[in-house]
Amino acid sequence: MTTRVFDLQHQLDMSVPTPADRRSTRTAGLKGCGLAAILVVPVAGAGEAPTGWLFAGLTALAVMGIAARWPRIRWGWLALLTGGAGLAVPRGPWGSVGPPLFVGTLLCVILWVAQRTNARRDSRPERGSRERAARVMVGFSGERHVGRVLASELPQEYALINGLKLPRGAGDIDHLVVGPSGVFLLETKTMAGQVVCAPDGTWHRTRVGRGGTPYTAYIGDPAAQVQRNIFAVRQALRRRLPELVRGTPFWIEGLVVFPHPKTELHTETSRVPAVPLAETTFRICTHAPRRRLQPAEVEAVVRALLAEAQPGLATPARQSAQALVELAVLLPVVLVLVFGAIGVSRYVQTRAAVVAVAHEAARAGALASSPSEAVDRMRQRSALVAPGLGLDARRMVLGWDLTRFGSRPGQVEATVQYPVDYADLPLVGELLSTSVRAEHIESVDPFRSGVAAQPGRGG
Amino acid sequence: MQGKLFSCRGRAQALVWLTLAMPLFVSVAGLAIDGGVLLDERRELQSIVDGAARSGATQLDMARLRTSGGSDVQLDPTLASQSSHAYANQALAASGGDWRTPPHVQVEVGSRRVHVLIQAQLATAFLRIASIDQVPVEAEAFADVQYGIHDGGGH
Repeated sequence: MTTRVFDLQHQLDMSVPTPADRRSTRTAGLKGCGLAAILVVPVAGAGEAPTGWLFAGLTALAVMGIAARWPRIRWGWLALLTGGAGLAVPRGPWGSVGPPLFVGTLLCVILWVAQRTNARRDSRPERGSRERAARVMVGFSGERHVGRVLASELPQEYALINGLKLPRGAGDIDHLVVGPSGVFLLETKTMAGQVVCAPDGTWHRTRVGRGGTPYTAYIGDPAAQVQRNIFAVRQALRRRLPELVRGTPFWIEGLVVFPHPKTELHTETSRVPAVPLAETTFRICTHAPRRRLQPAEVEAVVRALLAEAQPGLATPARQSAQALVELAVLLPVVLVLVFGAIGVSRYVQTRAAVVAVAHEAARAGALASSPSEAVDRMRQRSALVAPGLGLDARRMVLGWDLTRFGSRPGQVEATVQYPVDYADLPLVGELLSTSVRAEHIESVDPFRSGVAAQPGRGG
Repeated sequence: MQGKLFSCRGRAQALVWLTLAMPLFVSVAGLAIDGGVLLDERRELQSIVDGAARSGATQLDMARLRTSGGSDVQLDPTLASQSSHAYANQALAASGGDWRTPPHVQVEVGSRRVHVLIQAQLATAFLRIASIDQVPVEAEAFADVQYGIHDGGGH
């Protein structure tokens, strides 16, 4: 029997959810929605300012209003609908429809994700319900029972820490045993029936109901929980006792302990050994470690872990806020880069098209019989090829130099200028305002008949 | 104390993430810009070689044409080469590309065909970070002599 037992178990969570808790769960998606709207509405609406901002803002308000009034609406389908509309609706006649559809789709996706998360959480018994209380009580009594048995069976040179909570651990560590044979991390699962660990790592339990019907239910993976806690213990020891962890491999053994007498285990494929309570102490004491711990080292490990134990660290709320700050810092940078890349691609595309139009116009002009005909040919040819190259012929400025048309060798020079449109690109549209220009000189074939020389320049 | 320590570590983690992500974003943007400039210059070079080849293809051997009574139509290699070179050099000077070394213009003149090839090394802006100071660009074009009665075309 060991007297070195440290009980750090926290109070049972048997509280009933308050209206504020319920409200908080329901409005979890709304908060994310509001934050996303603040970030996205100015960006999305900038392409069609100022109506784009107005419509995008109204859409965000409408979506959040619907979410507050009818939280159980099918947001996934709504997101698909708005997203599909965003892709299908032509932008030409209704340019202002783009920003609200984009904002609506994004907010619907956020609400859909929040809805799924809540649904998963709701599948567990509700806080304050009898089923939840019963489960907590069974689990807690099982842990207490295991703690008592271990304390009574382990020799004095072993220390037992119950309910240790470490930063970045997966919940409480039910029991941690430190002794000459090593450090053992125990996760207690109090459940009757047949417990099976499938080869793919999933765990399920089969038990017989009151009517005699067997039923199977999946249970959380205790091996994963143990492994994550082993990582947390190792990290804690690395910080507190670097000289102990360095050098000879320092192994931390994990065990999943089943104290219920009616548990039948089929867990050979588990990554962490699963054992009934009756075998636990024997397994710990007879374990042959790579390195035996000296009494002073046992003491140092226990002291280090107790010093690391701090309740309430790294709350999910803080982590979530941190993620939001990261998102808020990164989003504008990423958006500028994305829209900048789109702008560059648009410039290159326009420039290639303008070079091609200048080329075509000069060639057409060089085949004319006279400078005046050359001008007509250049105009007609450029107007003909521009739409196929993605240019609006009305915005294109065509220039020419026909002063060398009749000389030998004759030349026709065509110049095309075209403004690149960045107005619909948020963040960068206002900064960029360029037009591209290209020229091409084409030689006039001196052996063609009917070439008349009437030099001219225009545009 | 422990809480403060952890909180600081969390902030540092965000900074590390940001620091690691930024070069990636900038690299992608830089690659897009360098790639865009490369495509643009390639298109410009193609336009120049097309014009140079056609310019050379207008230079017929007049002496041969006259002595044959108009039946033997062949290019004057010297004049054709000079014309193509002159056109290419003039157009390259006007284009103002950011060339690492002056573009190399190569003209081959056959009896009825002109082949122009321009090879250049384009200076990069962002790829220099990855020790790629220049990228090769080249364009080539052929122009054939046609004679007889043809439709004016152009439309």
